[in-house]
Parts: sequence; C-alpha cells; structure tokens
Amino acid sequence: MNGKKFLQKATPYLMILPIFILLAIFAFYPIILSIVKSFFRWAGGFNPGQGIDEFNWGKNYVQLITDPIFWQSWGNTLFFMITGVIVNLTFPFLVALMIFSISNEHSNFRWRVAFIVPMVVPSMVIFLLWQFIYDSSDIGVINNLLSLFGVTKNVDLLGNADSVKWAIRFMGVPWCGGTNLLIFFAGLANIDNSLREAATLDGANTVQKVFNIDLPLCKNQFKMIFTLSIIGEVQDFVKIQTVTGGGPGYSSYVPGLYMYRMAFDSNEYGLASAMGVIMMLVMLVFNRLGDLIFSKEVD
Amino acid sequence: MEVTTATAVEEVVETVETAEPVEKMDQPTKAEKPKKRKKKITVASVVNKVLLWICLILTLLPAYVMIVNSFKTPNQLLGGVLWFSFPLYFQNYADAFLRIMPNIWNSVTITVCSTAGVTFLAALTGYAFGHFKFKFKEAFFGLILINMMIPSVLTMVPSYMIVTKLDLLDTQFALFLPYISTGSVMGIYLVRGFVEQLPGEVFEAAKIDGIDEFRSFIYIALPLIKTILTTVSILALLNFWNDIVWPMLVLDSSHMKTIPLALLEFNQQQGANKGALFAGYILSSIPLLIYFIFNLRNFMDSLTEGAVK
Repeated sequence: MNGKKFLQKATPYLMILPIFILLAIFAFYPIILSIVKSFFRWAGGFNPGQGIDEFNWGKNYVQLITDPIFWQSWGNTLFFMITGVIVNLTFPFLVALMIFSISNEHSNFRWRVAFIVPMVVPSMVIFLLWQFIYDSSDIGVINNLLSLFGVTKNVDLLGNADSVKWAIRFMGVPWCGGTNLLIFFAGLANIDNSLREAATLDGANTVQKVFNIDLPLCKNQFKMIFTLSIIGEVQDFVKIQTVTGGGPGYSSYVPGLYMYRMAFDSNEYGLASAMGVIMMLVMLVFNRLGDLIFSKEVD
Repeated sequence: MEVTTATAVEEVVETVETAEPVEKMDQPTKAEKPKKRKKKITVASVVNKVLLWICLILTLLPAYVMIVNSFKTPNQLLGGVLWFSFPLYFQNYADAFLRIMPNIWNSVTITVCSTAGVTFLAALTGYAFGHFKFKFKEAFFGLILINMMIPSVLTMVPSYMIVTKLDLLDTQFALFLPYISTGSVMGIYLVRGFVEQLPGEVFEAAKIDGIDEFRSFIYIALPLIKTILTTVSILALLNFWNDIVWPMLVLDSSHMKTIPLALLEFNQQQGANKGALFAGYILSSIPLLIYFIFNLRNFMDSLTEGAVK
C-alpha cells in the first residue's frame, strides 16, 4: 500500500522527468555555458587539450563593441527591424480587413486559404527564388521585365550597396502570405459584431469604424506581431546568408551572420557567445518596449 | 460499476467535443449575419476584390516563376523567364527527382519522427502540469517557459559542442534530440492550458475504477486532448520542415542532408541548367502540399491557434 501511495505521489514527477532530462542537456546547459563562456577566450576546438579556453574578463565584449562590422551589422538590422515592423503591421492587417469584409463565409475561407498555400513551399526555396528574381544577368526575372519595357541595361539590385537592403526587404512582397494574416483575421473575427452595427447606426463610415473599433480592439494582435517581427529580424540570418552572404562588402551583414561566421568559420566560440548574449539582451529590451508601446489602454 | 463509468466517461467526452474548447473563429460571423442577404455590388466591394487579387497575385508570383521555368531547357531559359516556352521539357523533373528524392525522404522521416516525439512529450508533460497538483509545480513550469524567451542563436555553439561530444554529428539523432527537447516547449504550454479547461469528473470516474494514472492518461486524456495535439503537431512539423541553420551545422554528407540543404547544394552545382533546379523546388513542396490539402481546416485553425495563445 505504501509503495502504491508513493508511486501515486511520484507520478507527476515521473511524467515531467523526460522533458527535463532533454532540456537539461539541450537547453539549460547550453544557455548557462553560453553566458559563462562569453567571458572566456574560447576558441579552436572543443576537446580538452585542443584549442584555447581561458577566462579573459570582458575582453570579448570590448572586442565586439570596438569592431566597426559589429556596428554596421546592427545598423543593418535596425533598418530591417523598422521596415519589417512597418510592413508586417500594415499589409497583413489591411488584407485581413479586406477579406473580413467579404460576408460570404465560403469565399472568405477560400481567400484565406489562397494566401496561406504558399507556406507549403520550403522557405529555402522562397529565398532561392527571390535570388533568381533579382539575378543580375539576362536570366533574372526583373531584368526580363525591364527588357519588356525596352530597358536593355541589366540591374543588379542585390549586388549594389545602395539597393541591397531594400531588395531584401522587398522579398516576399506584399508580406501577406503567412500567419500574420491569420492572426489579424482572428482578431477581427473576435470583435463583437454588435459594436460595428451600433457604429453603422450612428452613421460611422468604414474608415471611422476601422480606426475606432478594429484598430484599438486588435491591439493584442498588433503587439504580438510587433514582438514576433523584432525577434525574427534580430535572429534570422539564413535569408541573408543565402541571397547575399552579407554583401556586397558588409552592406547587408547582420548580427546573426556575424555570430555564425565567428563561431563556425573562425572557431571563436567565446566571441560568438558574447554576440549571442548581446542579441538576447536586445530582444528582451524590444520585448519590453512592445509591452510599453501597446500597454496604453484604449477604449 | 465499470459499465456506468464507461458511459459517464463517454458522455463527458461527447460534451467536451460538442462544447469545442477550441473556438472556431468563423462562428461569430456565421451566427450574426443573415444567411441570404441580397447581393449588392457596390463600388467598395469591387475595389476590395481588385485589391485582394493584386495582393494574391503578388504573393503567388514566386510560385509562378518556379512553375513556368521548371519546364525549360537552359536555352529556353535564356529566351525569357516570364512565360512558358514550348515544347515543355519534362526531363527536368526526372533529373530533379533522382537528385533530391533521398533528401526529401530524409526530411520526411526526421520531420515525422520529431513531430511524433514532440506531440507525445507535449501531451505527457502538459497533462502532468494541467492535471496534477504537486510541489514546485509552478517553478518547474517556469523553467520550461524560460526557453520561449531564449533565442536559438544563444544556444547554437554549446549545442553544437554537445552534439560533437556525444558523437552524433552527421546522424539523424543530431537533429532529433535537440528538436524534441526545445520543440516541445510551446506544445507543453498549449496542452497544459487545454487540460486545465477539461471537466474534472472524467478523471474522477477513472480513479474510482482504480485505473492507474498512466493508463488514464493514455486511454482517457489522450482522446480528449486530440484537438490541441493536432495544433501542436502542425506547428512542430512546420518548424522542423523549414529549419535550416541547425541541419546546416550538424549534417555534412550529401546523402544525410535535409531538403533545404540539398536544394542549396543543388543550386550551387547546377549552374546554367536551372530548369531542373526549379523542378526540384516544386518536388520539395509537394509533401507539405499534400498534407495541407488533406488537413485544410486543421491547418488553418492550428496556425491561428498556435499564434494567438
């Protein structure tokens, strides 16, 4: 009986044990190690006796903030964050509004499906396709389009320091094929329809209704997409690594790419860890900022 | 006794299912709009449709480029990439199929196994947190939630070191183990929330019958939380299918590579014969497309669900 009772008490602990073993190895230990090693000159290799592993105070951080490429990459990320937040908050919301205004249940659903279908294409394919669209030779889609209008000179949008960031931002135009659209749509569908009807009776037009009802009541959705966009822009570097490799020069370099190269091309793990810590802090700051911006009560 | 509990359980199962804790987002519009309103074509509705079509066409443009050019020989590609060139060149598909089929298979197996693992772990752990009361429960839960705030770049280097030391490099376990650990976090959170909304009587009845906790998890809880597990699995599946960075680090040999890596390699080797490359892009989109078509509703609901919570 005693054994049975003990087993009963232990059940929940036994059930959560597997995930904690896994998280200990693949999450907690790496997180702690990363933070600790950001204060170490940790380079060369992982095995004992191979490479360097010694405490060097905050030298990694000093080395980072005195590196012009570090600042350039954060500057680029700032560009991507600002423009990313703007397009992610406006276009999907507008398209969600347009779809929501279609009262026919079925065509409404079909529109949403049509915008979501492109998600089945692997993101790597999307990157490579955009690279092809921007291709600087005769084969590129944009150059083909230009030649239709009689422009024979090829443009190289990705190879030009002035245009590369905008070209990357315009990948995925009009930024509606994804979950952001569904999030906004769910937000709009959750608003009590009687509010809109009351406003209609009061003689409000569509624009007034959007500004006084839809926008304020979708506040949570705006906040969420704001946070997700920031996190995405700080973290994602695969897109840039694939289409430009950070170039030309360092004009599309971003912190994630900087960190990746540092860790796996130069084998400077300590420096890379310091970069990771800085990126985490930036994300936490912007997360907090999102809370502040969107916490104002609106009614 | 046994019979009564069984029916009681069934009844609760039914009420839970009909109550639908997962809110269908279409319902408010359905209920409140009169079904047959006279269709009037206004300027606004026409403008609305036109704008939507423009956005949709732009969204689908890369897919169009991919389809059109997948039927071209290198020479036809030089002749223009905006429209089909005839005759269509189907050989591209055969070439691409031979080239990337093993990699599609790699991606499918690793995604399916990891998704199954995540779904099981999320169900087990989420149920434990939602159903039981135990000491330090919230502290343990907090430890799990912390992982949602940690960017993956922070753990990249140490995780790579661990995988190296465990001698897992270039094996599927190098993907599987990290995937099911960090991939389960969101699912645990979703399942816990769902289990807490379930009526307690279901489990009471089972307890009286003397069914042990693990069995009541398998036979009573799992069927009840099916809806949320669908969401968990779809979200996990999309993540694993699209992941690029981690496989790029731990997989090295061509025959081990997952789809994104294989396509990247294919892209670098292919040079001028881009037609086969586009065919490869299309082939690699097909598995998820099939899944999407057969789970349309679930897919749409899950994407919203996972994001809104």
